[in-house]
Amino acid sequence: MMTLRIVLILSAALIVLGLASALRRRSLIGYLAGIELGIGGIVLLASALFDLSGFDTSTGGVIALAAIALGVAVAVIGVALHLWARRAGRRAADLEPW
Amino acid sequence: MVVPREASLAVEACLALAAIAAFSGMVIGGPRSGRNAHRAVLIGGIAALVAALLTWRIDAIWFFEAFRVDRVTQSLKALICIGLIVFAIRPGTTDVRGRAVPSFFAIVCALGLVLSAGAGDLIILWIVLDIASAALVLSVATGGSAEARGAEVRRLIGAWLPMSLIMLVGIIITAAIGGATRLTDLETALPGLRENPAALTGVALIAVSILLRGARCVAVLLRD
Repeated sequence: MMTLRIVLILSAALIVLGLASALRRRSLIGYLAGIELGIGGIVLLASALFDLSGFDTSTGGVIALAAIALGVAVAVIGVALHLWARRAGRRAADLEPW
Repeated sequence: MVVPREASLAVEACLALAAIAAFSGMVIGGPRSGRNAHRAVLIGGIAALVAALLTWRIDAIWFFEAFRVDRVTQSLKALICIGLIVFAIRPGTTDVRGRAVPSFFAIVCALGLVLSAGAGDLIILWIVLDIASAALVLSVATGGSAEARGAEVRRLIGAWLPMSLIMLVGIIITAAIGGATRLTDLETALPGLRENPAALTGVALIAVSILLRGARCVAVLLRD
């Protein structure tokens, strides 16, 4: 029970830190890093709540996998948007897009 | 008129076929690809709207209760199809008709929203809402220049990702306390947990995240 409490506090701290840094939105990289931190907290929360508390462990695994897939998708979309803006900037300056 | 049970998935099938047609246009390219993708959005939206109205009376459950079809879901799907048709025929789309990418992502967004309307499981609901949000961001981003669309894309990403995380926290809390992620199981488990503050917090987080995400996305699209 003590382990569960420690892991829950740690995951809550990670989620709050991630959301706070994402909501400050100083740069795209900082924003994405905050979201990834929050996703890490959610993976920890799902695993801890379902595994350590004796609930159906497969549900926690599925949620953790889905959250990891979201993290990958967010990173890919972030890179794609960054490249899109960079290409547009180079086109505007009459340079080759790449 | 007797409508077979399989017809209850006609809305999703119409939008999926239109998405495949738009994707083909996007991959093949050429001078007409954008116009063809735009036509696919329009025809797919109209076909899906007709399918939603024709299958309005059908009740069906698919994929081990992960997907439900009833009058409420078909009404929501009809509203989403009307939104897609309005997106396709609005005057602002004339300048981007030469590009297939925004049309493809618009129809993927509509498909995600249609699937979320019939979702019978919280995890399925979260996944399809995220697919719809990502497709909406990409549709808006590719629908114009980086300078013109930058602020809207930032607002949409701001509406999508934090709300997605909050919704997932709500789902984890609700599923851990209710003992299930299926809506039918939660419908029986949650009334007995009315006094449980954690269960109420989980449900409130899910509801607030869906409402805030929807409101912010609609506000950005209306301002566009």
